[in-house]
Amino acid sequence: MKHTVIVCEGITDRDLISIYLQQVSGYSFTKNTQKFGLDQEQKFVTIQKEDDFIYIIPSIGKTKIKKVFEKICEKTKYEREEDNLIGKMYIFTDSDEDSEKDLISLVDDRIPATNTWIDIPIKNEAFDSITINTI
Amino acid sequence: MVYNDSYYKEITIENYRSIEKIEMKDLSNINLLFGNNNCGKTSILEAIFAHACQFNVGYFFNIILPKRTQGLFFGFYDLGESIVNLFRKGSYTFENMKFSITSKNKANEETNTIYNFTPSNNLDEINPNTYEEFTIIKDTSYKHEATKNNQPEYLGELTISNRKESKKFPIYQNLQFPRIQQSRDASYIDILEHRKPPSAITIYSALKRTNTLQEFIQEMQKVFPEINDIETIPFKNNASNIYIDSKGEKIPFSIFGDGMRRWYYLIGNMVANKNSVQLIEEIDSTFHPESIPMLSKTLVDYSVRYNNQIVMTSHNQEFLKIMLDTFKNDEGILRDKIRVYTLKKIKNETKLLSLNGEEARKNIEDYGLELR
Repeated sequence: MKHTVIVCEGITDRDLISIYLQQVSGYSFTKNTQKFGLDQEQKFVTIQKEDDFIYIIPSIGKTKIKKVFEKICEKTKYEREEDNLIGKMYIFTDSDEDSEKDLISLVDDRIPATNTWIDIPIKNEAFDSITINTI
Repeated sequence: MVYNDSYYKEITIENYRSIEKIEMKDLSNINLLFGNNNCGKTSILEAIFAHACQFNVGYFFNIILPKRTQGLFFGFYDLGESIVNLFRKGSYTFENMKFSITSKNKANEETNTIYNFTPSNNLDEINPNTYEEFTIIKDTSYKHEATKNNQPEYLGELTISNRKESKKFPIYQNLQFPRIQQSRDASYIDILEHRKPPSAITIYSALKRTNTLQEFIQEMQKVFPEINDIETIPFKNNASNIYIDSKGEKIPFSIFGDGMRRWYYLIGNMVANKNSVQLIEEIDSTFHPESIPMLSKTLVDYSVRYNNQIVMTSHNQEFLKIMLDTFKNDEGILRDKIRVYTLKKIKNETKLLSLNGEEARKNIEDYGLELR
């Protein structure tokens, strides 16, 4: 099983990304079986291709990306089923007028640069240490 | 006994039954061992009980050995095998079996109990290595201590030690031992304990003697409002029985349902055995979901009031969820008084994963995680 999270800003981003992945990469909608401790308005969708699951989460505002990111990390910290571990996380946001430093501070200061894959290490009691590949 | 001195803050168990090594840290008032069947939850309770009993081996054997078989053994070898199986296979030879439990209290003082068993040659029948002796030439000059005693009922010699002293106990089939002060008061409560009539009388007596019967009845009425009173009525032959006064009728306690009788036994036992560690098997067993919030509140309340530390097992996620939800508006209790330990096999290694009540609730509510 492969689990990927895509965090975007709004509902329109969520729908555009999910339609794109369905049309271009052969994913299809499936029932939400995961919980991420999100706010009520942060309604995510799940798309699936065989054993490959993608969860597209709208943070509903740039300033809430950090909280969603922290929730994903916390869920990973507590996860006890190896099959359910999240391996990759994409964070999509408009740069608008923000500098790279501003954009990074919206998510996590451990991220050295935007548009670059980095490993976020998370301590997990069941599996000792886990990394989420994040861009 | 001073509560802070006896309260277990950490426990390490080595080589007990199937446990190779388990470390329980940050223990609190209510400690729930959670996990699937046959993962070792009951073994942890038993090991803690052995530690509390320490030199009082009679109390330990007479509670732990019969409970898995309702006290029925197919004679000498069956009983011998029950003793041998307390020790983790693979960590011992038949001549040298050892398990140990180490605890730390709140003041970080360490207590240690080691059980070391040398089986008699009478148990060679169940020694998997015995038959090798017919084909392999061995040094026969070595005779272990237990061999000297050739009485037919002799099972072997148990040595119990802590860091200060060591005592030897010859073990015979009748399991008679001297009564020795325990390291810590402990009650072991299995699933069927509440069905034994003498248990109900013992608790009634303790409640009466401590003037806590009325208060106890009021607690029970919150869940079982049909109860007016609990009393004993003597028979002509000087025996007596417990009766529940319900709507003016005296109804024998024994004909009430398991849920009520177990409640009476569990909660009554906490009052009767203050300052003790209460080891409870399958806490959710026999309780209707509607009674779990009141049971949970009473367990927490009584554990604080009567200085009892509870270690209990369950494999029921519904029970855990209801118990944690009961305190959703009291994060202090979830964080400080409740611990959830999960025994889980991960990549061929059994791990003990720990959460406080607040974290456990977040895992279930926010992340939908399965804690078994």
